Amino acid sequence: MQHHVPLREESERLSFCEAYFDSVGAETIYRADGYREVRLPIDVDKELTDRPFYWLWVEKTNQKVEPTTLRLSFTKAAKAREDARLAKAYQAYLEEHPPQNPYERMFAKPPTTELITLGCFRLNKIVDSARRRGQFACVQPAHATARDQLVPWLVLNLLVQFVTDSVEETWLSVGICLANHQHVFGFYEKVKAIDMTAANPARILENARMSLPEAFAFAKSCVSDHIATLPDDWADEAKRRLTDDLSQLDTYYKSILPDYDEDTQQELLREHQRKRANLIKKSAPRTEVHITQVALVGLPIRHT
Amino acid sequence: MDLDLENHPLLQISKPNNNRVSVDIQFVDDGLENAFTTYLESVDPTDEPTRKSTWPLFRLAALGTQSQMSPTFESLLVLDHIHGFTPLPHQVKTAERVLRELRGRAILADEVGLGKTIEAGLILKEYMLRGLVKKALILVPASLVLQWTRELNEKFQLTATAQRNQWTWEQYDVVVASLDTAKRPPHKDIVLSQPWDMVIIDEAHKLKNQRTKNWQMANAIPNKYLLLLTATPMQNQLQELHTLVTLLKPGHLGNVSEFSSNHMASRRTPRDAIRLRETMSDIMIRNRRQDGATALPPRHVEVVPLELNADERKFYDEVQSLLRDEYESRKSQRISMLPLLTLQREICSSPYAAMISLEKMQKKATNPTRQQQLAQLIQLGSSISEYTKITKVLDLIDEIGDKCIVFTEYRATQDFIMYMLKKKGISVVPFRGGFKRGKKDWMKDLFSKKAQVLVATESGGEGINLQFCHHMINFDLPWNPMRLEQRIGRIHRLGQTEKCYVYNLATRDTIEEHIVKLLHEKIQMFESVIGELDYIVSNRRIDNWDKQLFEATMTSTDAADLAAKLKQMKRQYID
Repeated sequence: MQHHVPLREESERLSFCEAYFDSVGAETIYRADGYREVRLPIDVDKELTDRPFYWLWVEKTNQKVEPTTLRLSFTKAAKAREDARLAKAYQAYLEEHPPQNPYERMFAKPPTTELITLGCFRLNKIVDSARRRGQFACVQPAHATARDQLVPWLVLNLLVQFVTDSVEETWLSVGICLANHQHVFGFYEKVKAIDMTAANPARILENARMSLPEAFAFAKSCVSDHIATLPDDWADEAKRRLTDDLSQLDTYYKSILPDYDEDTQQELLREHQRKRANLIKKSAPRTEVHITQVALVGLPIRHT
Repeated sequence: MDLDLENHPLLQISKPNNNRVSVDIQFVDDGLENAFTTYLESVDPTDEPTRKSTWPLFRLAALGTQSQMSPTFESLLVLDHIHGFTPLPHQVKTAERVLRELRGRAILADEVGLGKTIEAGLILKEYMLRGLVKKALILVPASLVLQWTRELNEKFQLTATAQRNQWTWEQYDVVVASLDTAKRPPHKDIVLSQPWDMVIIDEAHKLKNQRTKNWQMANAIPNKYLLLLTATPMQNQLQELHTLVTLLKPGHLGNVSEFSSNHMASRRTPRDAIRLRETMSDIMIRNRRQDGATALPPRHVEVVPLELNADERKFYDEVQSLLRDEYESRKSQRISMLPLLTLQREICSSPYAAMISLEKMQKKATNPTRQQQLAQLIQLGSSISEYTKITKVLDLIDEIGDKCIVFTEYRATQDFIMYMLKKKGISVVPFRGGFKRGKKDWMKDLFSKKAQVLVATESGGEGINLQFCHHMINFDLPWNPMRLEQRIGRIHRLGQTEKCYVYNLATRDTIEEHIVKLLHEKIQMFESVIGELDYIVSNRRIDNWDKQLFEATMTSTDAADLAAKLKQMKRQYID
C-alpha cells in the first residue's frame, strides 16, 4: 500500500504554497529562486497566523492594520541569500532613518525569512487552511458550454484508517453517478487534471435520478464493500496480540489479589479494569473512514 | 471483575464460523453531508474568485490530506519532519523498534549519553503525526523540565509546555512537569483524571520501589503508550527490574514470587541471565557504545592508589575506632546509624568533610568522655599539614595540562578542593545540583571559556553535558556504580571526539577498598542481565580477588566453610 507521499520535496512545497496563495488572492510582491514574498488578505492572515486576541482587539477598536507580509524561503540557500539581502536593505534604510532613541536602537533588527520545511508551523497552517477551504466543490469543466448536457457525479474523497496500536491509512475516492447509479473508484484521479470552474448545482443536478442522501448512502455501502475485500491479517494479528496481553494482565491481577486485604483488593480491581480499558483502547483493531472532501461534478456528455 | 475474555464485547471481532476477521467499519464526520447540502445552497458560481479558485483549492486540499497520511503501520513518518539535526542510526532504530515491536510501551535503557531524549522525542512525534497521541505527559526531574520543553519545541517542533499551575494539565496537549509536582495535591487528582495518550518518565530508576508514592503515582496515571527512560534500570537488586516492568506490562515477568522463583538465584544474581535478557528484550531497548551505537572514542579508566601519610593514617584510624565504638553503643540503644554511615563515607572523601560531622557529633554528645574524644579528634584532624589526595590531584592536573572535572560527593570536600586549587593559582569554578538553571549554564560557560577545572558534586551530575572536556578525576567514589557511570557520562557522551581519561582515587587500607569490590559486584549483576557496562572500575585489584574467590568456592566443603573463607579473605584483603 506504499504511496508517494506529497510535499516531501522543496519544489513540491513551493508549488503547493504558490498555488494556495494564487487561489486565496494573496499578492506575490517579490519572487526569486526558492523564495516568495506574499502580502496576505485579512481573512487569510487570520488563518495563517496564530493571534486571535490581536484580531479581536483590531476589530473591537475598528483599526485599519497593515496586511501581513510573509517572507518564505523554500531552500536553505534561498534563506541565506534573502536574509542577507534584507539585512543589506535594512542597513541602507537605517542610514537614511537613524534610530531616534535607545529603544529604537535596541529593537532595530532587519526582517528575516522563514524556512518552509515539512511540518513547520507555517506550512501546517497553510495545509490546514487549504483543507478547510477546499473541503467542498461544485464544478464543471471550464470548456463545458451552456448547451452541453451534464452528467452529475457525487465525488467523495476518503481517508481509510486501519487502527490498532499503530495506524495505516489509505486514500480512496469514489464517484457516484447520480444519473445511472454507477460507482467508480479512483474517480478523483481521473478528473483532477481537468480544468474546472465553479458551477450552479441546480444545473448539474438537472439530469439526476438519485437524491444526494441516497447517493451518500450508496457511496458508503460501496466503500464498506470495497474495504471488506482488503487484506485483514493486520486485524487478525492485532486481535491475537490484544487477547494475549489481556490474558497476561488478567492472570497477573488474579494472582496478586489473595495477598491483600479487602480494601486493597477493591482498589486493585479498579486498577485492573482501568488498565484493561486502556489496553483495549490502544490495541483493539478498528477501521475508521473519514470523508475528507465532497464534490458535485458535472461532466458533459461526449458527442462522438 | 470482568475476566470473561471469550464474551468481552470489545473482543467480539472474530467469529469462529467465519475465518475472516470482520472489523467494524466506522464512518467518521457524518455531519459533513448536511454541511455539503448547505454549501450547495450558498455557493455562488458567478462570483469570479469562487469560479476560479474552487477546483484548485479542492486539489490542494486533497494534496494536503495525502501529505499527512501514514501509508504503512511501520515505516517512520517522523524522519521527514526533523530539521536542523540528524538522529543517529541507533536512535532511529530504537524508534522503529518501539513502533513495530514494542508497540509504544518500552523501557529505553541506553547507556548515559546516547541520547534517550532524542529517542523519546522521535517516538512521541511519530505517534502524534499518526494521530494516535494527542495528549502527552512528560515527567522529568524538576531541574530538567525547561531543558526538555526546549528540546521538544526546538528539535521536534512540538508545542510542549512546562507545567506552571494546576490549569496547565488540562489546557495543554504536551505537558512537561516533575513527578514531585504531579504527585502533590491539588495537581494529583487533575493529572489522574486527564486522558493521557502517552506518558514519558525520565530517570525512571527512581521508580524502583513499589511502595513509594512515586511508583504508585506513576502506576495510577492513565496511558496508552508509556516510555520509561533510565540508563540504570537496576541499581541494587534484580527485584527493581520487576518493579519497573510491572508499571509497563503487569505480568510480563509474573508476580513477585513467580519472578523470584523463575528468574532469581539470589538478590543480585539471575537464575538464567540469557533467558531473562530475552524476556526483557520484548519491553526494553538498551544501546551500548561498544555495539557501535556511536562512534565514541574509547575511555581509559585508571585506579590511582594512594598511601595515607602518617597524620592522615592516625586520624583515619582514630575515626574508625570511634565509629566502631559508636556503632556498638548505638546498636544497643537502637539509635539511627545514618550519621555514622555519613561519617564513614566522608572520611573516605577527605578529612575536611569528616570534620563537619565530627563537630556536629561533638555538639550533640552528652557523654563528657565522648565529647573530649571528639575534641581530640577534631584537633588531630585540623593538625594534618599535608593532604595526600589533594596533592595527587594537583599533580594530576599539572600532568593533564588541560581542562579537567573533579567530582566529589561532598560540599565540604568541594569547598576544600576549590580552596586548595585557587591557592595554587589554578582557575576553577564550582558546580552543584542546587544551582538554578541559569547559574548552571553560566558556570558551564565559564568552564568552557575561562577556567581550567570544574569541581562538581554528585548532585550536579544529571543533565549537564561537558563534551569539550576529556579528563575526569573522581576525588571520591560514589557507592553506587550507576552514579559513577552518570558522572563519566558527563564527558564521555555523544559529541565527544577525543579519548577520555578517568582517574579514580583510592586510598590503600581504607574502606575505599571495599567500595571498589562492591562496585565491581554490582556491575557484574548489571552486565549479565542488561548487557555489558563500560569499563568503569579498572580490573587491577579485582583480578586477584576474583581468583581468590574462585579458589574459595572450589575448595570449600560446605556453605559455612565458604562463609568462613570469604570472611578470612575479606580480612586478609583489608588488613
